[in-house]
Amino acid sequence: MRKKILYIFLVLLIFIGIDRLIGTIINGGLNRYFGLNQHSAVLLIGHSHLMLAVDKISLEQEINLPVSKYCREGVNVADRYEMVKQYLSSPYSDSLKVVLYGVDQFMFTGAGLSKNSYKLFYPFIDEKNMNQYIRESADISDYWLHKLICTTRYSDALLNSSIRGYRGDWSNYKEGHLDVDVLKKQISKGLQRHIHFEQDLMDYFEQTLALLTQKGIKVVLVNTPIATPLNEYEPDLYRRIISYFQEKAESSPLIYYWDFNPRYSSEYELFFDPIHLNSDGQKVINAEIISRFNKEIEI
Amino acid sequence: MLFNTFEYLFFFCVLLFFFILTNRNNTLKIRNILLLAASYYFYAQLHIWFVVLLIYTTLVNYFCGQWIVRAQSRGRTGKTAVTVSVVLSIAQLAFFKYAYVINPSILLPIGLSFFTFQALSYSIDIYRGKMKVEKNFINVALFIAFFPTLLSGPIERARNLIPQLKEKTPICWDNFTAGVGLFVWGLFKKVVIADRLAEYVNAVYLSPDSHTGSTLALAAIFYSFQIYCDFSGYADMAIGSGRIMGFKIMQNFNFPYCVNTFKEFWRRWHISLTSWFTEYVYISLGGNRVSKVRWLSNISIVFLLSGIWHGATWSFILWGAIHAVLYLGEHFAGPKKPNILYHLFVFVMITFAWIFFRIENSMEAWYIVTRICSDLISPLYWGSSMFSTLLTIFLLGIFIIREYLLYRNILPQKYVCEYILLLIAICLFGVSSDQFVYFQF
Repeated sequence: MRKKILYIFLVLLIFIGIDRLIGTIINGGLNRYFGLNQHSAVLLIGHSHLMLAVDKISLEQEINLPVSKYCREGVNVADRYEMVKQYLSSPYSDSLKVVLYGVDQFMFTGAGLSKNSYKLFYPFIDEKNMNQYIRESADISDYWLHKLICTTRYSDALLNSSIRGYRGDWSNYKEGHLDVDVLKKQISKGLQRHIHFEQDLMDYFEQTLALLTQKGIKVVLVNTPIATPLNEYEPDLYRRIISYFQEKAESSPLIYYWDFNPRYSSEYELFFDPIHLNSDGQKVINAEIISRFNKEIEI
Repeated sequence: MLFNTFEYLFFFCVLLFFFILTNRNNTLKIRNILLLAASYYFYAQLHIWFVVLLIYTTLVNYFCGQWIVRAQSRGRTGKTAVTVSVVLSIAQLAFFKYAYVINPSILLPIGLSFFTFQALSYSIDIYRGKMKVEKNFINVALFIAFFPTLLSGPIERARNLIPQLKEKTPICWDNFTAGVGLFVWGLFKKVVIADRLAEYVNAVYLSPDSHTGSTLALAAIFYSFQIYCDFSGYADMAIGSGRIMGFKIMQNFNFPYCVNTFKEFWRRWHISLTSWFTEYVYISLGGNRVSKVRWLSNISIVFLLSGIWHGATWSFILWGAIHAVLYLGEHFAGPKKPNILYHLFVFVMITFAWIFFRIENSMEAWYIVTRICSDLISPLYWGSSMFSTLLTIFLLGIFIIREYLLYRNILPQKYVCEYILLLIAICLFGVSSDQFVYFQF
């Protein structure tokens, strides 16, 4: 009997060992991919919108500064606040000078972005801040499952990011073009997201700006292009939210607002879908960001 | 409560503790009451009213069993009693299954088809003199409600399970390791293979007309493996749970895609249902000891009933009919020595038949078949993420290799490192789902 118990114990021990080893390897790749293990002067915070618009390698080369591209698919404003806190609480944040923060007209719309987006941060559950955030958001069995077993923390997207981190690959592989007629049909059916101003999300945004500017870090609110039919869908609300971003930029010398919509939102060959740029779109917007960064931002 | 949840793991561990304590010759009654209460609790987690249906089926078959024996002891056949048992059991099944089609607001009880057929095996076996009547109501109730087989089979026979319920079961290291191994393999099939494949299949079948022939072909192949891994994964977890407690539950799948013929496929696919129809329908109709025409009709009836058992839609009936045609076609015109090409043909035809099974609208299913045949060389849709789809194909490849090695008896089945790797794969690549394909039946 004692032998059998020892055998089970040994099997559990081997399982835990392999599990921890795999978790460490995957997290290594993720930290490289998101730039969470490097002293960066520029930090990119946003969701897939900004992720597909910026080429980290060429940005680093052209502005001659180390860049961390911490963009995650589906993160809402609350998640981005946690992402900023995560980087600031790391030992690598001392060199941070500028944050490029992705904004768009839907950022204060709760519906559409996942309410379970805290799950995106399971890989970082061992970090104090993230642990607290996940503990508050997840149910108890989910929390302990992911806390105890490392290999449960990763989605396919995270595994892919980890592999890309090790390969040093930040390319935009999105090919193909937006079909504007399909988009217009969807809009006519009322299938598009609406612009809202949810107070709790606006509060998180304000807190993020306050957190960064109090530390003397410049914040550039980057509005990468969204296809024109979406911008014209709710014109009054659209103008209101753009004015809000402009007012934020005027309220502090540390805050900037770069809007690439007026110039590019009707150039549909740059879009993969209504809100995401394809690889051609990335080249154009990336060049614009580099140009404005070199002109306007003094480090 | 589903097998692929932590609630089940907790439930099973607590139950196993008390099961071991009571698994003694002098406490068997307590053990069985405990198992029955646990089984009802397990079922009530889905819906409290489902338990009422379970009790109804138990009462019908228990009292009809007694009635059959009383009638037979008086020199009668007991035909009336067994007919009452069949009619009352099937009436409940038919009401919920087919009323649901007419009025979808009527809740379809999960596992109803399975426990109804399981219960009927008790009455029919008594009528046929294959087993003695069980006087202990708890044992009959437990046989029908036995939680590992309750929701999705295997459809056990009373003559196999009831004798085990009346004895102390062998709880030993070999049963424990075999049961855990089977459970882990079943869980792998479910959450790593079936649920991952389901993501692609569901996305494509949501709007088949917007996809190319190659995409529809890939979705059809994926569905063949999805339904197999989903259903056989559940069966493995059921058999594994039973095995840990020392119960031997009948096998439900035996490498059905590794075979060369349709006949062989049906010997290895959903064995408990196929053998149920063979034993209680096909043989009752005369089996193969009848004229050629009658035999043809018997085979067709069994396949059509098998289709109807899955649901009251034309697609299931069509699926049964397709298999009847394939089975009979092979019988009369199939090769004497099937080769690899015929094996491929069998798999392709089974895959085509699954399209009719999966798609409720038969016209749409037919459209998919024609689109695959006419537009096979076309751009492929890679799903929501190419990485995910490629990873799924890679994992499916590993599954197929392991399955083939097991079929060929090449793989050592009790290699602990292999199960550790399976567990890691479950944690790393598993997709959580609260659905099993066969729950709807």
